[in-house]
Amino acid sequence: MGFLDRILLLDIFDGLWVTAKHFVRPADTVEYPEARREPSDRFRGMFKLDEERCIKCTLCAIECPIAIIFIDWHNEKNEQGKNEKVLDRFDVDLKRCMFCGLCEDACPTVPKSIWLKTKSYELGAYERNDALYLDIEKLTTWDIKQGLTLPPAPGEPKKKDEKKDEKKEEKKEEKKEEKKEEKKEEKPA
Amino acid sequence: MSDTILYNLVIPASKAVIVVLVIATVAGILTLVERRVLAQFQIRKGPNRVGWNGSLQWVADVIKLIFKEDVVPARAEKFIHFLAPILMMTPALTVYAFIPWGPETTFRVPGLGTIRTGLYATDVNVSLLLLVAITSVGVYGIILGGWASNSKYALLGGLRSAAQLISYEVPMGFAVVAAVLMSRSLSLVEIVERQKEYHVWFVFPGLIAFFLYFVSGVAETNRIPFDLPEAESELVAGFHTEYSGFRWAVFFLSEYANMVTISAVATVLFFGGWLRPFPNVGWLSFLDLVPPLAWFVLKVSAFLFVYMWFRGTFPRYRFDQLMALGWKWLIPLSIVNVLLVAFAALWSVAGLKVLAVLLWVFFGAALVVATRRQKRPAPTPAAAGVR
Repeated sequence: MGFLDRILLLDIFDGLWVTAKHFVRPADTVEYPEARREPSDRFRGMFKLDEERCIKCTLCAIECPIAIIFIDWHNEKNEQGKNEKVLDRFDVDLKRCMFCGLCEDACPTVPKSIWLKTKSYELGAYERNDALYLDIEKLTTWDIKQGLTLPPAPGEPKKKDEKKDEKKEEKKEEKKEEKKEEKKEEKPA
Repeated sequence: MSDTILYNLVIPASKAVIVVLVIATVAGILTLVERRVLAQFQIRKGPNRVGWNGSLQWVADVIKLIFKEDVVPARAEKFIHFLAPILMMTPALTVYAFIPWGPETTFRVPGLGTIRTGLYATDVNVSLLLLVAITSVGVYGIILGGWASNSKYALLGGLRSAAQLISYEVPMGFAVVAAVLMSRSLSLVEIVERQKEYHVWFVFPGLIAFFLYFVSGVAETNRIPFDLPEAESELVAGFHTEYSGFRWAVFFLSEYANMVTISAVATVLFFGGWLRPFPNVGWLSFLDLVPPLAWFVLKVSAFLFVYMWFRGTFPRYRFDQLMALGWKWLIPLSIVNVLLVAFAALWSVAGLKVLAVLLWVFFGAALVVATRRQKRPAPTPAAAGVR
């Protein structure tokens, strides 16, 4: 740094110029309850279970590093007289989950029958055990209850028709808006 | 109502009330403005929920602070702990008595007829001296507050501010002396009028003085990058660590009031106060459509924005760096500057203009040379301090 640079405080003006450029940039803020940001495709969020696809192999429970997936099943005779496994219990202790996604990796069915890439990050609840201890019913229906359209599970064929996709997206937005309105109505009560 | 009572009691009293109210409000609003501006520098939005676009956030803050519990630490010096915020706020508000917001103006008040009065509470012929004297009393509030809190962080903050404010009072004083030499007056109103008379804003011959004044002003108001007395990351909140509720708000208010003071005095001394740009150039007279008060407010707000800009840009100085800057650079520079300006002013008004031309040509040329010489290479990791 030369003498002239020092007496003219060029570095200081450089710094001021950098912040000045940021000052005129529009803010990156997403104002959450009104606006939402779509997570990336690999975002690991809420669990989703497809009971029909699940073959009750319990690989996910075995693979889980902190053993928070609890699966019980029994055999039942189906119409053809063959044994079929039926789930008694499929619980996920979400409050201890670290969202590593190993259960999803371990699932042998195609498409996956348990997966986290639902792009849903609204995991809050009013009661501690409401959302943090998930049973079959909650795992399979939470998105329907919330009126969400989830992206396809990993392995599920993607819909190639773009028009349909667009329509779906529109529907999604509409549904989100409806949901917001519902929430607003619920709050005062 | 007789004119004597009107001009000696009613008008000064109402001016005083208006000024205090306006400054208290402005300090409140400045907190909001600062948060919004800083947010913009950091590419976020800042508070925008209370009122229209967050415009009532400062009201909410004030209400919260008033109703908060006022904690006095155990074994604190209760009386001095109580006195310190008052000691800081009183001088911060008192100096507004001298700051000229505008020239003599004629008002038409229904029931009283026309009143001709200056847009300043009072014009003492040594107002600049008084102003400098009174602002430096404010440091007692900081030191005593730090001491009375019975907390090591507060004490350290108070000690730091004592050293810092006394050090930077010197270059600031010399910078003010330069302005006084140029205008040959200590009255703020006269200083502004001289700038019109001499056809030159004093920032032109007083470029160095202005730089010194503003840098010392940032240090005097404990603002980033010289906010060592409060140094969040080292001293929690420095001298006001142990303050809460309304007393903390008073400290905060006086800090912002001091900011406005420094900006206003810089405007008066170097940027022609309420004068429009180039007050003697005829073809620019359409600028007179903007009233003088608006020009003044505009200039002050520009300075306040620069304060926030600094805050959004610079990291804090280390304490020895701060002292080195003050004593090894600013004070010698200020003495040299006073000599320069003194000789120029001793010559005549023309001398000031010659000095102005010389200074601006010198710095312009230096800037051209420094930037043209070569594009400075990006710093290598070693040079940037990465190991």
